[in-house]
Amino acid sequence: MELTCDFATWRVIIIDDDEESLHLVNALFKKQGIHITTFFNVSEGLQAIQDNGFNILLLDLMLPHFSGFEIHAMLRKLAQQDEFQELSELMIVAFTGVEEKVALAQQGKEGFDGWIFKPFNPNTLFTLMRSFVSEFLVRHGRAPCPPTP
Amino acid sequence: MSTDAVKILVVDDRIQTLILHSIMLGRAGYETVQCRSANSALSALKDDSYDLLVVDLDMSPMDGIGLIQRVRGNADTSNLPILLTAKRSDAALAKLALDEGAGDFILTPVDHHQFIDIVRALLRTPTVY
Repeated sequence: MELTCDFATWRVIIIDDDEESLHLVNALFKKQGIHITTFFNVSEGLQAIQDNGFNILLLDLMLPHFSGFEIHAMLRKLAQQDEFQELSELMIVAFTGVEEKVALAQQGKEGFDGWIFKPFNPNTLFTLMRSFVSEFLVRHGRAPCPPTP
Repeated sequence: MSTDAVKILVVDDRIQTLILHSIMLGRAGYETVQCRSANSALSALKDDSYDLLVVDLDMSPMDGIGLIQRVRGNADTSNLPILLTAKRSDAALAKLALDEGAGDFILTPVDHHQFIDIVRALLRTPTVY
């Protein structure tokens, strides 16, 4: 049983109200053959997580009406319950400016699976994405897609 | 009423509204517990006590009205305040839920302030059913 998984089979969702960032990430991921779905709207993005299932959520922290911190905390809370099993393996990556991480670190409130800082370098973006995939494999001992027999 | 010890059970099979409503309640100082189905909520109500139930109308297999009827039919929970949430297209059905024992209803997407105002009102004025 091999613990590798074609990166192109990972399903990534991004929720960000910054149109420029969304378009850029969307184009970069698609160029790499990675399945990505983008949402400006928090509510629609959360519904898509339930309806379609995703492996990695890139979550902007400074969203209108609801902060990424609040969404993250609630997703983590639900993930601990059996009836929200589809959330238990969702990796949540903060997609944000450096300032937010510094502020959070000072408050001891980190807890995201990773951080991608804006503005980002495309090479750094994919290096980070690979590190998130590796982290998933180490954590679960398997890929989220059916392992290669 | 102080919100320190107030515990609210939020029941909705849509993660989006379950999360967003819970965040709004949390900001207002309420402790929340989440359930994805009516049956899961009935189990939660057996295991613990709550001050208010926020129930979505459109759930399956048991919908919000079915849950309200079960809650009202149980002596331990018969007077529990209940707020029903419903899509705008279900407004007529939501009004009927008042006859089944919902204390009030609100249409989604909810207005944050209106939502919390209704919650406070329901907590403030206990009703015997």
